Amino acid sequence: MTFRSRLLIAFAIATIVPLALLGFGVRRQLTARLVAQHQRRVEDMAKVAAQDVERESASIAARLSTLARTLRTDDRFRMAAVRGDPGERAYLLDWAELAMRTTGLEMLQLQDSGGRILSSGHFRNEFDRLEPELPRALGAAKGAVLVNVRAPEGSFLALARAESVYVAGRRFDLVGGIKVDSVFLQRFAREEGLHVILSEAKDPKVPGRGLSIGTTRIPRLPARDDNSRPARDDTSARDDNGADNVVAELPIPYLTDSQTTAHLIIAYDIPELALLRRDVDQWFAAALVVVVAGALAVAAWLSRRLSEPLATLTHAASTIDLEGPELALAAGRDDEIGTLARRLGSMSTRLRASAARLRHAERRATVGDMARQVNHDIKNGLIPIRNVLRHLVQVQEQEPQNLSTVFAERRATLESSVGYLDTLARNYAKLTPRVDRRAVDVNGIAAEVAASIAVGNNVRVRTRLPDNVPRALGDPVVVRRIIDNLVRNAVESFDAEGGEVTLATARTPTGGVRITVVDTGRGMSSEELAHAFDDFFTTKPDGTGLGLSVVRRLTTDLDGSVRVESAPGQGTAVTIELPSCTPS
Amino acid sequence: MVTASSAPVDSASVVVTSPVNVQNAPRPTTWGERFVFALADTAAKRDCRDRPLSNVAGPYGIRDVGRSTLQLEPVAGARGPRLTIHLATETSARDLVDAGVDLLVTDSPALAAYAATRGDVTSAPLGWDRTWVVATPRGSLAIDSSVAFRSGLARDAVRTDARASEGTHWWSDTTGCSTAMVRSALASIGTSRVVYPHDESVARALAERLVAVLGGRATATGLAPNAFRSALLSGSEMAYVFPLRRMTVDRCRSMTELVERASWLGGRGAITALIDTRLHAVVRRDRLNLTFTWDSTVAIAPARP
Repeated sequence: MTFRSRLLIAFAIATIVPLALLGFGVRRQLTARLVAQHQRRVEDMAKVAAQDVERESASIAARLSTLARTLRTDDRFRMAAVRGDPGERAYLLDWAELAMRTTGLEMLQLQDSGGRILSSGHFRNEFDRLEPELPRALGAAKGAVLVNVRAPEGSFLALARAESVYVAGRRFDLVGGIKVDSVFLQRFAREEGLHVILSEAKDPKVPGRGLSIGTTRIPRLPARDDNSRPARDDTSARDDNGADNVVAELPIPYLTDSQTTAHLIIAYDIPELALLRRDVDQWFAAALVVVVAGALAVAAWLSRRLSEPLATLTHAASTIDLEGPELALAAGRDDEIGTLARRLGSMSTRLRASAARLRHAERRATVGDMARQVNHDIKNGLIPIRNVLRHLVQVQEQEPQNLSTVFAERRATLESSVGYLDTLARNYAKLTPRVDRRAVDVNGIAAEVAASIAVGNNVRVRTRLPDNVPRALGDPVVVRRIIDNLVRNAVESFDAEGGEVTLATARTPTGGVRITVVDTGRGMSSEELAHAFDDFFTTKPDGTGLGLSVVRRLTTDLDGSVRVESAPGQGTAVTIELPSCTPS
Repeated sequence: MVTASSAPVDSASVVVTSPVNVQNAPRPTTWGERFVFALADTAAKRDCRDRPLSNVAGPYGIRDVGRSTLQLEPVAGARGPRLTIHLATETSARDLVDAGVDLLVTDSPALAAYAATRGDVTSAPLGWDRTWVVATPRGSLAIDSSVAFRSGLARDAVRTDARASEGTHWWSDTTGCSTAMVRSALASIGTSRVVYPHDESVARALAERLVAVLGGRATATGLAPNAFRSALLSGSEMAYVFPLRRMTVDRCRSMTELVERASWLGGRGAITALIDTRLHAVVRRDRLNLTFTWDSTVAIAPARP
């Protein structure tokens, strides 16, 4: 993974995590406070609901009591129920229906002491059915009880009570109540968002099972540990639509074969909580987008700021060539990267010096080899001369009269050998110049070279030789050879159209002497530039390939440096820096 | 002839305590529709030998249909007064009686008795004209067909003039009829419902009593006429309670009509007769003359010339 990628990831994590924690904390606090507030309200509503149920129970009891008093003085009832008068049987069968409507009850049945239904208001034709358990169980209960009541169209749930009445010494039971349905539960849902569910407590998580009557909508209830307490600490839950709600419960006796208690569950949606949560989510999302975008932008800028100089430095370091020209590193910065660049430059300089010393040592070793070669070559050149001289001595001693003749015959051999030795000396002189060390007037040498160089009409040599250039430490012959080679190379780089050569000197920031030769010739490609200092490398048809090679060796011998900048069609600039005669 | 009035009247008011939907013509679903459609039916103006009745007004045409009233006028060339028929509940019928109605036709004996307390009326029960039956598609439902049970239904379950159904019923004797008694494939019974036409209070009372006696998960459900017809055709309910004409001129033709309603009704034991019922008519003596056809259908008689 790149440094830039790591930096981006780090910034993203550093911004997202705190922001996410903040959003989560705000949501949690909002939820906790609103839920607690509404939980108290719902519990108050549960208390009110309990009072309402008590009130309904008392009302049922009062109505049954009134009916009981009426029955005692109802002669037609006595005739039908006590005397068994068939003429009043229809009256008895219709009595409960009429009484039910009169009292506003929604279920009413009159049973004899054996549990036989004599008259039913909600199911007129259910007469004569035996149901002794119902009045017995209701009589044992303290208040109203939920019961399943049979009707022609099916059963319904009722909140019922029982009242006994004695007529002619016989007991009759009145069982009456009101229907418990969604309309009944609606009275407890006094506020928007309030849901009331009457459910068996077997598995409240599944409201559809068993008894389940609700108001407009049945929210999903929270899981519970037992029949009375919600399992979650905050007592809040989420319904199918994602809304939050709080719940409270009211147990109500429920008479079935297997159940004794039903639960009136009051659930309250908290719409403002959902709205607040949504708003928080929206703001959080917006903040997240802005912060992440900003962080990524800063990270990208920072990583570029950091990585680009490093990349440049890396590239520069990868192109350092101890044999090639000196490269400029990014040493102008005053930060860590600048320090690194300077250290790298310093190291490069030290390595370059070490390489130069190494090359010097190699050269010394090479000089030994060369001396042996020179020895061999000279011996080869001297052997014919010695043979000719011995021959001449022998002729002088034995045949002096033929000396001139023999000398004439062997003269060509002598001249050839001398010529060979002269050529040999000349060639060796080119490879191993003798270096002297003294103050050199570089401007003067440059002016002489510029004046003596033979150029065509289409070539112009310009000089820029300021007076403040110090004297260099070196050999005037070597310096002349350096400048002469550079100017000659520049002049020879022109094609038929010609060009301009600028020979300039200057004082370096460190007090040294800088010699620059710039031409407007054809320049060099990067590949040519890479081999510019190699021995015998030339781009000219009649070149020796020793010009720049000799310049580099001579410059190195003077403890100087050489740098070449060139591009195809852009000309070439060669810069030589030599140490000054006086220490800086 | 119930009573006689020598003074001709141009118009008369009639109270019927039964729902009437003229859209159901000519196939009545209630006894009120049967009464009204008979007034407009020329075929009903014939005797059992298919001879025209000379003492019957009409036939009538239904001119106007209001929310709770119908206007009937004799068709061109026919005799009889214009009739305003009030479709009333038992409660509102009492108000109309007190306001002076010319004719009350009701299935409520209590209402007829109340109407008869006026001094200027004559009250008379009509003939036992309808038999209420329970039909079970597979004949497997255990319906108590004892006289005691049916008498109990007539006495306690319904609030109309009723008796345990008596005699031999025309649907139980198919001798000599060519009606194909092919039972169609019945849909499986998917419910435990005893269904009935919801406009018929007698059917409702009988269905509820059957449900009370059957116990378990049985329920009584009233259906609209079309829904009831469809349910009867499918035979997918547990039981059906509905009325049939007690008498018929052409037994085989009636049987054919019955089987057209649901082929399974022609099966042996599919229909159990429960009770017979009859209507009561209370008429102002000085206003209208009534006569009855052979099958106890009420008819307006024209004034004496």
